[in-house]
Amino acid sequence: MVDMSTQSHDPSIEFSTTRQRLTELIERESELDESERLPGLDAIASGLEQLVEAMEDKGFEDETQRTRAEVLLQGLDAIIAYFAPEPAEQEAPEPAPGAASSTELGLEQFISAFRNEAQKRLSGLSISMMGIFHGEDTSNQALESSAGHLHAIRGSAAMLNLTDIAEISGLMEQVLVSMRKLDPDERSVPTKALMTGYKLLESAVKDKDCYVDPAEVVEVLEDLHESFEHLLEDSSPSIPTIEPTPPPEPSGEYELDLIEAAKRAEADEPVGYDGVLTQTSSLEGMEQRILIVDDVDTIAASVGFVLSDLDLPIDIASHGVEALEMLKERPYSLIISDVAMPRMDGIALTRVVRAEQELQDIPLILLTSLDHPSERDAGFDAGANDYIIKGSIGGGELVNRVRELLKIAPFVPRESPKRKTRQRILVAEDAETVAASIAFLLSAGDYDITLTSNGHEALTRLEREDFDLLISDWQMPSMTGDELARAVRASAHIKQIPIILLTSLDSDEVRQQGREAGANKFLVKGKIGGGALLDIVSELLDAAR
Amino acid sequence: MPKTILIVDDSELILSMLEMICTQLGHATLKASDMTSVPAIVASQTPDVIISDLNLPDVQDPITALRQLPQLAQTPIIIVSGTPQAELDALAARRGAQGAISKDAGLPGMMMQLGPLLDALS
Repeated sequence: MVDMSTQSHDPSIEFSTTRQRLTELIERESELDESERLPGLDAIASGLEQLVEAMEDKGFEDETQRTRAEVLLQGLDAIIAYFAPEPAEQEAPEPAPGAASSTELGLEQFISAFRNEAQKRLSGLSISMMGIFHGEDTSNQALESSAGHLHAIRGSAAMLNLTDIAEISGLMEQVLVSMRKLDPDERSVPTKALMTGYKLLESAVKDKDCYVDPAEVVEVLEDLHESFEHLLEDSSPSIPTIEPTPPPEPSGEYELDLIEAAKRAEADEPVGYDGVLTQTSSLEGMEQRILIVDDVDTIAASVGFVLSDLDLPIDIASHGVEALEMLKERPYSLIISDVAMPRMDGIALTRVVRAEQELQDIPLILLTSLDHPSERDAGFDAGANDYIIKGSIGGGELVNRVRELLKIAPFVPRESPKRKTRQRILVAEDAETVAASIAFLLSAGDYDITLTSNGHEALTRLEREDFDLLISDWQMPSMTGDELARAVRASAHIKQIPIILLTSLDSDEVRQQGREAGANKFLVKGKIGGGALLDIVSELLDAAR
Repeated sequence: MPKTILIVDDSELILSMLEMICTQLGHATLKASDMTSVPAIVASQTPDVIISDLNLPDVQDPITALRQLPQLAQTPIIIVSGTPQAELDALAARRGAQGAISKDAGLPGMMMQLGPLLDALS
C-alpha cells in the first residue's frame, strides 16, 4: 500500500506528498496485467493523470480541500489494491477451526482471520468514505456504509479482546453516525479525525499481533472524542440545537430602528399592509407571522415545529432570494434565517431587509452553524438582532428568544384559515427530527397530528383511536413500515385507512414491496417537498371520504 | 443436553468463533452467512436455538425475517451484536428475542454467558 501518512502541516509539503501519491497510484495501475485492467480502472487512472497535471500550479486552498484529497486518495488506493494486492506476509499454516483444543490456540488462529477480514473492511471503508462529500443522499449512504464496516471491525475485535482496535473503531462508528446531523459541506472536520483513526487501524491490522502503539491510541482517541463531543454539541434529538450566546448586540443603527418601531407600536399607528409594515397596539384582525429561511428542509421544518408552540403562522423559504420574493408577496413579523445558503446567504438577506424601507422593521435572527467571532460580527453588522449557533440550546430557549423579539415585531393582517374541519393523521417514525419535520409540514394543512416512534405503538393506536391517514417510515426497529402496512390491511377495523410509506431506500424492489404491503403512496425522503406532501395527503383523504 | 444451533452472521470470522464456542459447549451447529440461505438450511434440519447477528446486509430485521419461516416461528433466538450488553438486552426484549450477548464480553465471556443461556432455553 502507498504510505498515506501525512505528518507535516506545511501546505506545500502536503501538496507535494499528495501529488507524489497520485503519481504512484498511476504507476501501479499501469503495472497491472491486461486482464486486471478494466475500463473503469483505466478511466480512473486517466482522471488521476489529469489531477496531477491540474495540481502542477496549484496547492490546497484550505483544510477542507486537503481532507477531501486524503479521503479520495485512500479510496483510490483501496481500489487499486483490490486489483493488485501486495504480497501477503508469510505466516505459519493455520489449524482447521475444529482442531482448536484451547481458547488460546483459537485466538491466535482467529486473529489471523480477523486481520484478513479487517483489511477487507478497511478497503471497503476507504472506498465508501469517498462518498461523504457528495450530495446529501450519497453522503448519507456513504456514512451508513462506512459505519457498517467499522461496526463489523469493532464486533470482531471486541470478541478477540483487541480492545484498542475495538475502542477506536467503535468511536469512529459513533462519529460517522453523528455526522448525519451535519450538512454534507460541513463534514470535512470530523472526517479529518476519522482519517487519523483509519491510519492507525490500518497499521494495526498489518501487524501480525495487531499491535497498536499506546501513545498513538491515546492521541487518536482524543481526536475522535473531540470530534464526537463537537458533533453532540451540534445536534439534538428533536430540533436543530442552539448554543447559548451572549445577549444580542445589534448594530447601533438598527437598534435605533427597533426603538423607533417600538415607539410606533406604542403610538398605535394605523394597521394594514400596503407595502409598509406598521406597528400597532390595536390587534383586531391582526396577527404575527414568521418566515424561516433555510436550504435544509429538515432543519427549517424542525425550527418550525419548535416554534409551533407560539401558535403563529409560519412559512419557509429555502434561500435568500425566495425569502425576498415571499416578503414582497406577504407581510411578516419576524425572520429566522440560516447564514450559509445557495443563491443568497443570510448575511446578504439581512442587508437587503435592512435597506428596504418596508422591511427594515422586521426583527431578524441568524441561526447558523458558523461559530466564529468574525462571522458573528458580520451578522450583527448587517443588522441581525440575534445570532444563534445551531448547537446546544433547547427548543424552549429558542421559543423564548423569538418571543422576546416578537414584543417589538410588527403585526400583520390576519389571513382566514383555509380549512374548517380537522382530520387526524398518525405518523410512525423512529427518528425524532424527521417526525418533527413531517408534523410541521402537515401542520400547514390544519390537521391533527399524532406522532409514534415505532410500528407496534402505531398499530395499537390505530386500532384504539380514529385516524384518517397513516404516514409511516419504512425502516423502524421492532416493526418496519411494510410490516405495519400489512398488519393494518389485515385488520378488519382499520384496513381502509390510506397509508403513505416514507423511505430513503429508492429502489424498484422496495417500491414493489411497499405496494404489496398495501401502501397507497410510496415516497422517497428528500425527493418530496412539504407542498407536494400536503397535496398527496389531501388527495388521499378526499378519496377516502 | 446437546442442541443444534443455527448461527447466522455475514462475517465468516464471527461464524467460526461462534461455532467454536458452541462446539466447545457440546452443541452441534448449522451456519448461514446470510438470510437468503437460511430456508434451505432449515428445510432439512430444524435447529433448537438460533444465534443471529442483528446487522445483516440483506435484511432490516433478522428476528422478524427468521420468525416468518414456519419452522422457526417458535425457535428461541439469541441476538449477538457489538452493542453494549444493557442496550442489547433492551433491544432483545423489544424485538422478541429470548436472549442477547454482546461481543464486548470477548470470546471467554461470551462462552461463559452462552452456556447457561443455552441450557435455560429448551
